[in-house]
Amino acid sequence: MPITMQQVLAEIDKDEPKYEALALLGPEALPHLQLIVEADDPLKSSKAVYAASLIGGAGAAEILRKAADHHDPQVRIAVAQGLQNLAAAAPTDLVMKSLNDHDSGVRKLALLTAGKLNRTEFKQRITAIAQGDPEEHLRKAASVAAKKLEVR
Amino acid sequence: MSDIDVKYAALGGSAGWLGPAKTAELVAPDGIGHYRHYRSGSIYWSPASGAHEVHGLIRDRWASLGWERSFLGYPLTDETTTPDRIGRYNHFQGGSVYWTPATGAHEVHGAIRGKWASLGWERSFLGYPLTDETTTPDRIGRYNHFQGGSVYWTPTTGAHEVHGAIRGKWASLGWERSFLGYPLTDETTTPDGVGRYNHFQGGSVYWTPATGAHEVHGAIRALWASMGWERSFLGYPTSDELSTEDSTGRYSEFQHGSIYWSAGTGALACRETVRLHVKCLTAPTRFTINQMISNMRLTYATAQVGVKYVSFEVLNLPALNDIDVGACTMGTVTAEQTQLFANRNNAGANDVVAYFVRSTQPPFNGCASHPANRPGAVVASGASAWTMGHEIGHVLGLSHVSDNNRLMTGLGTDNITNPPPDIIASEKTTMLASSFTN
Repeated sequence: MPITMQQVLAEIDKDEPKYEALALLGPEALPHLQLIVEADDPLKSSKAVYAASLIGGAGAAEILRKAADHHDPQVRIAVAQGLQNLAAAAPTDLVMKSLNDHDSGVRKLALLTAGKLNRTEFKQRITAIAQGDPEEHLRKAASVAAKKLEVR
Repeated sequence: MSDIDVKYAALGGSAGWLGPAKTAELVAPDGIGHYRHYRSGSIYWSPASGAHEVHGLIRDRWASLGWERSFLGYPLTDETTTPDRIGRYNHFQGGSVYWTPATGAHEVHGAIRGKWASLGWERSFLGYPLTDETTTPDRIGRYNHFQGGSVYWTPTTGAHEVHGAIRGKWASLGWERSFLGYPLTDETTTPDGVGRYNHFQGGSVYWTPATGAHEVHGAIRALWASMGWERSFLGYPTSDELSTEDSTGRYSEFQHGSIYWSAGTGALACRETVRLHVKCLTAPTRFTINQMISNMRLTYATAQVGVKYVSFEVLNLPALNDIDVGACTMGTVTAEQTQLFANRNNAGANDVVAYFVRSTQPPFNGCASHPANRPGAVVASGASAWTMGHEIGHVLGLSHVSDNNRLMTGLGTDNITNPPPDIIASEKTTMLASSFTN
């Protein structure tokens, strides 16, 4: 049975979606999630982005790439966090884009993601955040992440 | 010798305090009585009243009203010292004029005078009049203010005294021009002997030393009355009737609960109360906090649980504005939740705090998992109008259900199909038994 938009929305609509259930819907759910990301409801869009990231694969990465330009930071935050779920498949340029986001919440989640992905490409940007981000909590988080990269 | 001459002689004649005559004895303009003016006063006589002296500021007051042609008519007494030896008065055919150094001279008459007399004149708590009888601004009633209160009269309500904190409350609402209208009773002791009240045309004001004076009216008053007034489990009012935050409902708070009213629900008595604090990192975008609180009031009232919105605080915590809630499992919290829920300014141990954040990670409308002994929930900026009540429902012990007619639907509070959503009997029992309702 093909996955329907109704099935996807049934989970996304929940106040507390069961993301493991969304992940189990698999790649067939991705087109529906893409439509939800594009609709004008930032909370549902962010849920859809996160759900896509749990499904994974190239289709999911594409959803995250498009969502990385979303006007609402909530959606971009979901992208920054969702990149963790893509793990090795997480595009480096998307992580860098999130690390450079003007919104501090996006940078916060991007730092967590960059720390977990643990790629040397992120080191310079993380160090820059540690040294000069306007948000003190991000400077601290970036310092921790930068040390982890040094240890590596 | 005329009766006026006899009175004059009795008062010492020209050597007395009235002094020499300034006029001959003359017929009063009304053609009924006689009078004679003296250096320090006057003596008025009529067949019905006899001869009595009037002088000083009481005479001036009587003169300003039109002498014997006024509603006061002829004096029935000489100027007399009051029993408390502070004031002076003359009784007249149509009323009295009372004077003290502190209050000046003011007339009191009719039903208002009757009420004052029944209470013990100037020896009552009302003391001396501060005004003449005066027409109210709505031109329906009449009143005298006294040192210790007021007496208001209308043809339909009669004369009733209002004083103290109850009078203060009535005055603050706009006297007789308020929705309360005119008093229907004097201030009266409640059957339990603790409180005092006045009933008014449009409601009541109840007072106790512990609760102060608060008005109760309309459907809320009717329900309270049907329950047994202050003898009900609610006790005395601790607030006036208040509007809900979004003006869709009304409520009054009482010592042991509250009564909520909306056009849809009518009046509902609440025997337990959730004390709610709001800490705002980011304001919600789809609905206001006030709408969410009002919706919570509405749904919770159907379960006999009132909501006391105790405090609001803006929290400048950018690190926690997009908060990691992990899997959002009751009993398990993240480090960020622990940090956020430590912010409990003004909140008692069993008070519930709603933290409004921009987003949760992963994205949820809200999350009710909270550290032990820090009851509360986070609500995301994109949450529905019912999310806050839903999340706090979890805090009170409720679980998800698969029914979009109910507050605790796990299918999404945006999908609630028949607002206000239901709280069923077993959920009500759980809420009333929660340690976070009192």
